[in-house]
Amino acid sequence: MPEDYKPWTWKPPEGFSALDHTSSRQDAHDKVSGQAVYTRDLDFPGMLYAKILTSPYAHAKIVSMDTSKAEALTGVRDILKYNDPDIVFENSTGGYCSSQYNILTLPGTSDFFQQPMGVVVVADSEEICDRALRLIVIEWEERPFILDMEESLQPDAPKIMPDIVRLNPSAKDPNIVQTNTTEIGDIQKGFAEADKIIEYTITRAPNTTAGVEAMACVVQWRGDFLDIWPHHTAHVEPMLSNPSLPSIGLSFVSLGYGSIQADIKSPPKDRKDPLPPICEANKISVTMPYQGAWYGGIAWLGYSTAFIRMAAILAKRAQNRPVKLVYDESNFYLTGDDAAIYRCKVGAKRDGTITACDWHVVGPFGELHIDKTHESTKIPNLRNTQEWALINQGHHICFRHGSQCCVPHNIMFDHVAAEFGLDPTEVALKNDGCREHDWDWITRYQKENGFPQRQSLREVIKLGKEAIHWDKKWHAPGARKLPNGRMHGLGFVHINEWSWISGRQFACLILRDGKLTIIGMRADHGMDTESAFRHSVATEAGLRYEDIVVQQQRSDANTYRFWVPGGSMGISQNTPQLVSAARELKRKIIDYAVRPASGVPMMPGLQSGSGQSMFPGKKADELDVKEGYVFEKANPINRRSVREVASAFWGDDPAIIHPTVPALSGLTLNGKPHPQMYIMSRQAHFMEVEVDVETGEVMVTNLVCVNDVGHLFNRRGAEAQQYGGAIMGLGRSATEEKIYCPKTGVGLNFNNIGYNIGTMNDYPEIKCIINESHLGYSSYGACGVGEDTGASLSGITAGAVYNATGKWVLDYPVTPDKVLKALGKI
Amino acid sequence: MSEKEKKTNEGERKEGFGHISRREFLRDAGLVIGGSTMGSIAFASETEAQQQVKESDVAKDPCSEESADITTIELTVNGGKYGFRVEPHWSLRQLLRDEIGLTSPKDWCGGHGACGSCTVIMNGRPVLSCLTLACECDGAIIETAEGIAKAKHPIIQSYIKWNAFQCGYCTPGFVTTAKALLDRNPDPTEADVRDALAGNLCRCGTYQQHPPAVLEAAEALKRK
Ligand code: FES
Ligand code: FES
Repeated sequence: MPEDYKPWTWKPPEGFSALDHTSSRQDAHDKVSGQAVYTRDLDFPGMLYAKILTSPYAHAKIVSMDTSKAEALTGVRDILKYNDPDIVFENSTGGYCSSQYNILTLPGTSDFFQQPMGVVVVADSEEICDRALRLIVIEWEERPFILDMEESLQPDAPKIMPDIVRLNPSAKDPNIVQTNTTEIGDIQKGFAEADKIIEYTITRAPNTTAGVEAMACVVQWRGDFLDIWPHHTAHVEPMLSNPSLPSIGLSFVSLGYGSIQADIKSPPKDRKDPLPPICEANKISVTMPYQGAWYGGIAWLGYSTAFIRMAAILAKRAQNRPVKLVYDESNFYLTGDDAAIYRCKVGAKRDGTITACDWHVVGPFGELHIDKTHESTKIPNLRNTQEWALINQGHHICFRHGSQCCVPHNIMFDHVAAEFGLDPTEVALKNDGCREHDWDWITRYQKENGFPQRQSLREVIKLGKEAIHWDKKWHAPGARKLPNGRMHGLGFVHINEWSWISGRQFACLILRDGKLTIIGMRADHGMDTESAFRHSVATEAGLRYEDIVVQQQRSDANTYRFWVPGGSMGISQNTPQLVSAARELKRKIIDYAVRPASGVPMMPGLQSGSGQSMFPGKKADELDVKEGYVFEKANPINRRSVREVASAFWGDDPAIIHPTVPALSGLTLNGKPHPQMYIMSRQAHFMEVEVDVETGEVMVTNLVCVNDVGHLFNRRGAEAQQYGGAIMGLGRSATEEKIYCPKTGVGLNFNNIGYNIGTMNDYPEIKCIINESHLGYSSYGACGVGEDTGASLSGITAGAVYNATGKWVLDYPVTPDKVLKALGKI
Repeated sequence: MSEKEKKTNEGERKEGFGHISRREFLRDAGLVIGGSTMGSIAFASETEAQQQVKESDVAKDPCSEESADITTIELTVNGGKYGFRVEPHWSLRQLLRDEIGLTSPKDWCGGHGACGSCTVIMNGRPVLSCLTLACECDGAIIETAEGIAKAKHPIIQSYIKWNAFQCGYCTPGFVTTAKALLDRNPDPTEADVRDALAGNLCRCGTYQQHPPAVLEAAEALKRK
């Protein structure tokens, strides 16, 4: 750990308090008035529209395609087919991600229902595109499909994607993507030490982002120059300028994702390497409009990259007219969170101490299933066996990432508590720790590394239990029937927070009017990290919050950008560098104030240009900056506004700029937790339900979310992440799932009517409680909040239903039919 | 399944997987043409443009796809008067976005009437502009979030203050629905607000902040 760079030991400036509910977001008026322009809203003169065919089959190859009728349709400008030389060449460089195979720009074979593929039409309007697509006659060869991963793992399973480019050299035929086992400690010894071994199976159906703005991308060429307005969560320029590497992988490497770097070391053998770039990096200009939420999802990135690549190809053929490539709402169901089967075996002692946990997971995403349990407990013996196979369901990787870890983690605590008749909050505390270390060891670590000596889990559990009156309400499973005939239940989940530190380059400029601009590209998905950025820079530099803006939406040639453009952990990732920059800026403002100013006064009344210092005879250490004024500490009425100071140096514009701030070292090392860093902040969530045993309905009557955010920058923003995350988590836990027809592989509920997202009336008011332990690794000890709340709550319903009825329903989402089945009613 | 099957997809995209036309959807669902109702609120009076169209009326309907007629309509949008020649299948959302250039009527659900993000106020009540045919809007008075902001209605400030948005994509739909509620019920309860907004989806999960924002706007209106 670098000794000289420990942002958690930094103290916030005197008087620093979190933003309150009256500090306006910079995007507020745009969004509330409907004037915010999203990628889908863009409309340029001469713009053409493009749409891609989506596959009507779960797995089928195009044998032939007749586009003559579509070509004859008035208003159709171009039709690009999967076998066009332009696209065959580009197909080998389509976006990909850790789905372990190449996502082609325009494949001729569909691997799942509604996959974008086959043909793209360019026309004068979206409507004409739709009509033209319907006129295209396609001869299909249907292929066998598999929807179930366990079926796909069988040695005699049909090879379901023979044409794809596999990126993982260890992948085995026919359909296996990855198999691995991670063992920590000695699992057999752990089971031998247990008083009881508990076994159970958890199943999760696939769910999806159900994002709100369907993908769109506008592209225009100006000769050799390329202008892009994407709907995207990553940085675009490297993907188009260096196709010799898998494009999205490159982007992630440039962002520091070590795990994906590993994939890149084995590029597919048939890649024509090196390929010429679509455009050189210094000729690409990206403008990032507002983005309707889509919550990341690594699998998304491959598609949106392929999408941008496609738009660039089409625009080139459109002879410099802007082309808007749009997708319909079916793209919300392309990717999502993982379906998985977890076969779990847990060894525990009577007092709730867990001695071993062993998970056999059939599902995507490697050993991450056990990572958070390892990071947030002292359990000494853990094993995770992973089997991941191809299925014809699109790419389920993750979005609002982490639920694949949180669900088995919390169900384990519920089971141990149930087995020994214990309170699950006590079982959680009993096992609290970090990577096999108990809390005494962590306390010593805290002391040695400048952290406060606190146990976050104890604090968040106490706050949550008090808020929900846990001790009064907790009861044995199935023991409390309410006067209305329903069964009362309590649920509890807990986990660590997740944030890694990295940071990128961005610029902070003080302009001649004394206002400050932070420049750095980031896709705006609404998490409002900007307010925290503005607040921390304002307070550290001595400026006013309202005098600072983030200009985030344009990036030329890949220059300035914030870490994690998709939104994850934005505050904890970026504030260390912003604070460093702000401190440097403050020093510079004072330096300018004492320096003799030369030149001509820019405005009447400004006493600059005299060749004199604004604070004659004063030294830098005698001055300070607050609220936009430089003042003499010993005589505060002797003051000048930052505007006056900046204006005096009128020859420079921007007047003051921060220097390069070094990137922080990561909390991760090659995709693994850094061996010397322990994630000490925790969150705990508490839910009260009523279960109707006649209908199986589970009504949430009370929800309390407690997050230890380490240090709070923006109360309003943190709470928004808590309740927004909670609503998504509850959806994943109880209502949301993608349903496929087992006979055809076609999605049956891929729309907002069939896919069940909760409404205003489906959930009670959520009590959001913030704890500040200062145990995070970011500035002042801050850590993340939003992503982990959505992930951790995605398993809460099963525990609450068990407490209400005494029956386990471990098949997510926990829908009424499953509850009735568990009750033996159907 | 291993046997090679050959099929053509002509027509299938139209019939098979939800790609039915708006006209067909409206007819099949027997929905109100010219202003589909939002949430669970029932409205006492219907304007001329909100008549239920029966199956037998479709042929006579100027908005019918069978009719090649271009209809001329006049309408008021955010206080400005407009005249348009509209094609029979155009939705009100299309007209507001493509012809007038407004951005607030959004599309989340693909025009299936399932999300509320396209909500505008038509003749005083919230309607889903994706399911409202433009040719039925002759004489209509339309308000969008842009107009509500321009008129400095307190709902805008109170939404900003209460942070009743994240990505903001669904927000104009909430703002219009909430404003329509306040127009007809200046003193709503929290339950009234929740009921009125229950037809609007928000993927960012901002639900919690809407009731206090709307109730505060109601207070501000009373003070005016
Ligand atoms: S776009 Fe109109 S209701 Fe969804
Ligand atoms: S604010 Fe993003 S969908 Fe509602």
